[in-house]
Amino acid sequence: MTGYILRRLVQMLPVLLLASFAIFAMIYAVPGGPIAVIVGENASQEEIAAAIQRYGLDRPMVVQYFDWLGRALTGDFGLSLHSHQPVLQLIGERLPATLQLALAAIIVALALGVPVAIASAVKPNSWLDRVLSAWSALALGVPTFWLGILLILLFAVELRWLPSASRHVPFWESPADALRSLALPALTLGTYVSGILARFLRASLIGEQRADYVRTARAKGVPEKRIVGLHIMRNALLPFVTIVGLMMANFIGGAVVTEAVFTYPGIGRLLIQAISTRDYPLIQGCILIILIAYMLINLGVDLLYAWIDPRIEYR
Amino acid sequence: MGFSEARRLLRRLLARRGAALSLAFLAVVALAALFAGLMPLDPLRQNIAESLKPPSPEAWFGTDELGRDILARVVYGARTSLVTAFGAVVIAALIGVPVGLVAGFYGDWRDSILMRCIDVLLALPNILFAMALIAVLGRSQGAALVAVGVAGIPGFARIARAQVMALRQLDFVMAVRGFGGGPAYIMFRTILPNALSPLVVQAIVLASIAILLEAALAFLGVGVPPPTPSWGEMLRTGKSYLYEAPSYAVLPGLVLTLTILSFDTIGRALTAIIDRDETDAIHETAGGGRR
Amino acid sequence: MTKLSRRQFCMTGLALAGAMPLAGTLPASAQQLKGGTLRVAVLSELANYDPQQLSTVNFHVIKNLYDSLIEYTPEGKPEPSLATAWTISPDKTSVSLTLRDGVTFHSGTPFKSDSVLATLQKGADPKRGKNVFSTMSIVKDWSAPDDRTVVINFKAPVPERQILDLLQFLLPIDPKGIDTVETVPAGTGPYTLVSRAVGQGLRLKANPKYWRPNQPVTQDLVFTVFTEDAAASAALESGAVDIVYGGSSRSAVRLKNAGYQVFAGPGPLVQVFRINSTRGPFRNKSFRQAFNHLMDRASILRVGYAGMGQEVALPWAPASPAFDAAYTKTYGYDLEKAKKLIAASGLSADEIKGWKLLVNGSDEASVSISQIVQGSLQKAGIPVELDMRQGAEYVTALLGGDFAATFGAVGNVQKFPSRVATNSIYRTSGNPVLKDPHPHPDYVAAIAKVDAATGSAADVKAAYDNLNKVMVEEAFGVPTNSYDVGLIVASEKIGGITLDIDNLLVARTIGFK
Repeated sequence: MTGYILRRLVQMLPVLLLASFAIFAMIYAVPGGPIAVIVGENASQEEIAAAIQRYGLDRPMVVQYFDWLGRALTGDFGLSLHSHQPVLQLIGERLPATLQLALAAIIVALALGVPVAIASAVKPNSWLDRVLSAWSALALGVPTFWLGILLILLFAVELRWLPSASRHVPFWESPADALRSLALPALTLGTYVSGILARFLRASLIGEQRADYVRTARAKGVPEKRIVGLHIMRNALLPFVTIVGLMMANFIGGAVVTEAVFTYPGIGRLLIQAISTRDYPLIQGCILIILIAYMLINLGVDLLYAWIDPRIEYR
Repeated sequence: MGFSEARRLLRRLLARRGAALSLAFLAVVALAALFAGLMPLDPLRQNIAESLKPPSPEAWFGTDELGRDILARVVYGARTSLVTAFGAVVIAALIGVPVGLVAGFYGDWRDSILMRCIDVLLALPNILFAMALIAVLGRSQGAALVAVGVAGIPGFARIARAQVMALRQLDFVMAVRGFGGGPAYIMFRTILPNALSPLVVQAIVLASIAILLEAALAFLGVGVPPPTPSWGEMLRTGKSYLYEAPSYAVLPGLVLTLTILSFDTIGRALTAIIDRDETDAIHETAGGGRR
Repeated sequence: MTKLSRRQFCMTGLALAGAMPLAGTLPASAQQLKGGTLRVAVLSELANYDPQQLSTVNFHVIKNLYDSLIEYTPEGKPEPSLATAWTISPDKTSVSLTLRDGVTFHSGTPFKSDSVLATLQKGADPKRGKNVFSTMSIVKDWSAPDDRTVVINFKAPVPERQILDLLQFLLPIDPKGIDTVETVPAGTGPYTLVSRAVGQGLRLKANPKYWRPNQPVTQDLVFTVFTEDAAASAALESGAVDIVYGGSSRSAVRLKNAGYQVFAGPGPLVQVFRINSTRGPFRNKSFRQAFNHLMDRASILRVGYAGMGQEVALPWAPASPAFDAAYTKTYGYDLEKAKKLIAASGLSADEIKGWKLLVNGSDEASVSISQIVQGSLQKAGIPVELDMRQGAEYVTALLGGDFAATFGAVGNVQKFPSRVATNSIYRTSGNPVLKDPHPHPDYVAAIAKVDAATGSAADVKAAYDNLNKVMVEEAFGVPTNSYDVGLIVASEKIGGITLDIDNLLVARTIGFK
């Protein structure tokens, strides 16, 4: 097992290298380096020259990349060109916010999606099933930014119950404030995910229902509730966990649209700002962290998989 | 898939209520986009005095911050969305399908490398990659096309690859091999025509994703630049005027949502039909062995 | 309130400074304000703690961590701050300052003339001087006869207002901390830095040894950075912050209608349609002049800035001595006049539309007003496209002068008129857009004339009039409107707002009612 884990970790490296180089090259190729943003449009020629010197931006791209790579391998991701703060520190400040949102969204998604899936799967193709399936389709199809706007209109503009824009309040600092800030973004993101979860879980549950062991259990006279509650759920859990894991992995960078709607200070927005100001070290750092998080979560899901189902073995 | 087959598929599609409604809606949108020039709608005419007005008999969807007719901009915005969707599907298919075919056909180191590259594309969330691409290419209709198209490559690649792997062992492929058909001929003239169904479904699914992605990029401020109307851009600006003119953001968003849902519904209906066909086929071969 | 005795007043004689009471800037009602924790929402993360980096992103901390040598009232009258008195020599080639006693830097270093010398040195260094460097161009050298006196000599006679501008722009830095001032504040200001979370905000606390009595009113000053205007407004409305500083005009209008207090300072920016007169059809003077009449200023003000600001045809704020309202009328939006000027230019139809309007895609207001201008141009027979660029790309194009025309705000419009030349498009030499040699020698001469107008009030006015005339004639910059920066929107519980001439946030007098 440890061998497997190590191998997976090692396999991550080429992907990380390739991706980081590709993005670096891409952003570097764009006209408009970070200098202009750093010195401002009223800067004199001397200031520009001094700044270029200071940040080593006159060196060829490949040199700059390897310079960054060398330091990154020792854990030094450099300083943000724009704010002069350590890149890891900047990311570290945004990561809790993103994780908090991801967690809240998953909770909402589970709360909405699981009951819908179970209710659907109990009586497939019934009237209830069709209504709930339509709901899932809706949840999936409605763009998060439009849903977010509607929620803001209702809860912030009309009712004034919740703020129209969120800030990051760590949950342990002030649960009430944190919930108020998280409510709308989590609801928006969670609704979308609940659609995916519901659909997936429903298919999974229905599939399980047709399985041999269920027929056997029914023939043996095991009560329906126990069949569903214990046996089916446990077997459906496996792929379900995968999906939840994948969703979380995607949130790290992919919740950027929801973050934009509610101006939620997550990593996605940090990356977008970094791209806009051509802040190379920050761009590299964010991309890397997002990729690493994605792959680690994937690995974690696979390991969870193995833990849940003893039949699965990794060598 | 021949013409008569396509017609039969269409009829079966229309038999489902959801799909029929969706097709009808999409037809309306497409026709409106196509013949926008013939209608008395001007998406660019400014009238500052009449800015941010709610829906009225003169402007069914109201006016935006420069007094332009929002309905007109929604209609022209459909062009932007549909062009992006179409272009993206074409790009994704043109690149993704050959990649998948080659990877699945050879199954060796070529498969590994190609699939690794595809994995890299998948590891980064669509939207971030698209934004980076647009940062390089600048904001334009073309850039939006390319950015969204690239995001669609993995989907096509994977399906094409799976199809190739499933079909290449079958008799008729072996037969072509026996007759001396080269790899390119086998991939593109033998396997591909038989693998079209899932690819067509994927095209529809990608169209829906493309419209959503294009609107999301516009919402984030890197879509097709103003004054070209774009649904996502309208949502973006409309959101900043939420207090002054709520309908500004709501109505274009509604059209966007319905368009996406329509593509989704059709995609799912097609999947159901094709699955039904396959299960029928399996039951047939299992039961009767008819050829 | 300390009042100088009649005898002391006479003895200051030639001193051109009034002897203002120390606490004169505090309104009487401020005495009843309570302290506490002041929470301010700001819309930009600060760049650094260098008080010579006077970009808008630093505006919320500069006057709270540092003091300047003199201050201006909102009407532009000079007041003592760290310099208690100043004497300008009769030939206007030098100024002698008397520094205040009993002031210490946050580090404990006593405030003496050496800190002023170090600050001047930094300001005169092109690599370290930042925004102060161009203002220092009139300075020849300086000296400190003793600990409490500094003498600054100029290269040539300098108008009084310009000297005062320089003094107001100098914020003394602790000589021991001057090398690290970007990352560690080193000032004498009413607050000291407690902590900072980059991208999130910072905390300041009251300086117990601050030299102004009874100030600062609040003990704690907490800044929270919001990336978006809507978020800051939301925070104000939910009571999470007490003040929003630097919010948009649109939000301010909305919040004002909802009962909040809005304060606009005397230091607005002016939006200018910048024309690169070295490119394409813009080399033609008549064509450029048409643009004076192609700006629908009323619409631009309404759509871009919610009507907050003024339509202007010259790059001056109302507080500027060169402000002239007559021009706004004469050079107003007039399609007929514009068409005549275009026709008079003799350019072909192809030449007329052979350019693109560069737009800062990241700035909502720029996007809207550029579309308005595009519409106006269309009506005048000039169909052009917008070249939309984001973030770094836009600023790079601006910095390199790589555009035909674009909107860009100019600052320093409420001070001495030649200060407008610190903005890139208005520079008289080393102009990144117009390059060297300057294609508008009349303009360069006009600026020089203003700089040399040290004579009578009539002479000075003549110089300003000349500059105004040349500006609209050369038309390489077409101002459209002034708009507020550093807008302060406060809840009803807040009182004691002090307006700063540059619209910086001055928190030391703010308290709770």
